[in-house]
Amino acid sequence: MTSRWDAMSTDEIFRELRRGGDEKLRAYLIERHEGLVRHVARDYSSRGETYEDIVSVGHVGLVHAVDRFDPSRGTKFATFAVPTIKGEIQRHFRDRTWGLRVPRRIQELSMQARKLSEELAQQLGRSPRYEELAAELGVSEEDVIEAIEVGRQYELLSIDAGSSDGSADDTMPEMERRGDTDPDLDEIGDRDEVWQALQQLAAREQVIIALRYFRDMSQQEVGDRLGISQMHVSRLQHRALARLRRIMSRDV
Amino acid sequence: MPAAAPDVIELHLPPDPKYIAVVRLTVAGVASRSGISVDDVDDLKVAVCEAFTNTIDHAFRGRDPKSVTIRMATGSADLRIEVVDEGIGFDPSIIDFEKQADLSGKGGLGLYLVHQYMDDVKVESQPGSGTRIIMTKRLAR
Repeated sequence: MTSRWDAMSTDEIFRELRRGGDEKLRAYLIERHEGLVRHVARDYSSRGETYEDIVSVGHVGLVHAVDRFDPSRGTKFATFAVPTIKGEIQRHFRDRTWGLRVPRRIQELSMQARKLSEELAQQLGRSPRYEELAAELGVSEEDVIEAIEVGRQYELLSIDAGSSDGSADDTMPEMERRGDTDPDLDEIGDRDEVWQALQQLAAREQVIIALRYFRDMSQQEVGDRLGISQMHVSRLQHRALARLRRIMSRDV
Repeated sequence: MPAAAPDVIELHLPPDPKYIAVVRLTVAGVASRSGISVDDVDDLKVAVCEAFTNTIDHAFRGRDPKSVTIRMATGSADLRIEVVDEGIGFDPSIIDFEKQADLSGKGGLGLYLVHQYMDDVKVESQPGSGTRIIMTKRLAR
């Protein structure tokens, strides 16, 4: 659909609208940016809801963004809107997957299991087994399995959304960029050499480097794909890069 | 002495991403009974879900989706998991897990991840007659 505003920049339209211009400008801005919602929604489509449902939740975020955006601050609308859309979708998932559906007992168990898993890994020098966690916590293996799976979803959401109340607007632009640029990664060397050296790493570390370096995925994208948090990706990447550098300096 | 027959657990699922969580929980439930570590179970969950997602995305293009079977066989030495569909199939010789170029391109990420996280992966497929992804994880003793 063409409109007489098509030639105007988003910033110009916002200024016009805030000056008390045509109310239809609001609807036009929403329509113009629906692509952002579809783009963001794609990242969440593997979490058990239809793409259309996620798009409609994200649309609410877009409407908020249009109503709250202040063009005089000098940020681009998309930079402001994407985190707001994400925030809305994440809040939706958090309400559904955590607050409402998960019994308190499992929520608590999830945190205990995670902590214990790290402690035992330190003590044993290897990743513990579910039966070991279950015995230590005095619950069934099935409870631990459920708790860890549910906790994973919670971790994904809580870390995405930051520690704020979930309205996200104030904290997100910085988070958006976090983990996307990584000078370290560009400097490790020639692609073929890296590929060769990579084969000597453990599978988990190989995957992180391969997705980040060869596939150009952000830490957040890698985390979503593997079902772990961006922070965890960052830790694994740090370790893998250190090892990779050691291998490569030995070879030369 | 012949090895004891493996225990076999089968899931039949519609090819829909909303069942990924079911797959993850079931894989964890079955795998934990083989005594493997929490980290290894995490790897298995990623591998099986990538295989399942791959099937959802590619197996039924332009065709009525049929249910996908996930078959888990827990032997004494290994855990074997198959993802089987009756979709359009493809020529499996196009897959080369070792090639860096495949990773830099657009597709192929799902099967790369499966390959990384499992000890052995075979893909049996023919255009027109469905696909079977056979994944094996050896159990450390």
